[in-house]
Amino acid sequence: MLSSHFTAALIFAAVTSVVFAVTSKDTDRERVLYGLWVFGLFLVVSLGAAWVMYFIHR
Amino acid sequence: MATKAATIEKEEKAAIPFVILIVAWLLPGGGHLWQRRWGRGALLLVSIGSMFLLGLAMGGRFFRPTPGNIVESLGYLGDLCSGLFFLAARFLGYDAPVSPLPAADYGTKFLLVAGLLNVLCILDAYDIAVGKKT
Repeated sequence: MLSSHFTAALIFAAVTSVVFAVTSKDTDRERVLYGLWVFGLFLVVSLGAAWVMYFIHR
Repeated sequence: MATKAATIEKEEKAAIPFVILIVAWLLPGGGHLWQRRWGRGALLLVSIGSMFLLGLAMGGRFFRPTPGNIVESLGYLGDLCSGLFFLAARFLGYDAPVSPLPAADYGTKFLLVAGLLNVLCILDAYDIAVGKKT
């Protein structure tokens, strides 16, 4: 079903960002911007954590 | 006259949230749809519904209420928060075993997080109902 862990992380980040944006902000513009911001943060943190774990493992 | 109308409206506002809480729990986004926030409700329903269905497709398992095991018990509460999605899946006999596959592990997390995200939706629907949000 999943091609990679990253795909699962992307889907998770997308859904969570949508829910956070819809429930946290009041206007459509704010929701879109906040959703993109949260999605970007999810990606940065997950990729960053992956690299940290990689170097710890080495 | 204006005071009586305001009092009646206030009582109606105080009574409605219980229904909205139940609707919001049963159907992700349902609380928003009930209050005619069609766009938000539809978006929440599609998002959380997709996450739940993907969790099933990946072979995720539901947590079971286990006395003495707080992780399982809390996980079960999280799964329960998905409302009709969870109830329907259980009623239809979905019961995935514990699997070592990574996809199944992701599925389990997707099922759990779908329920937890619905808690946010329930709270948001409540805020709209009591007038804290529009």
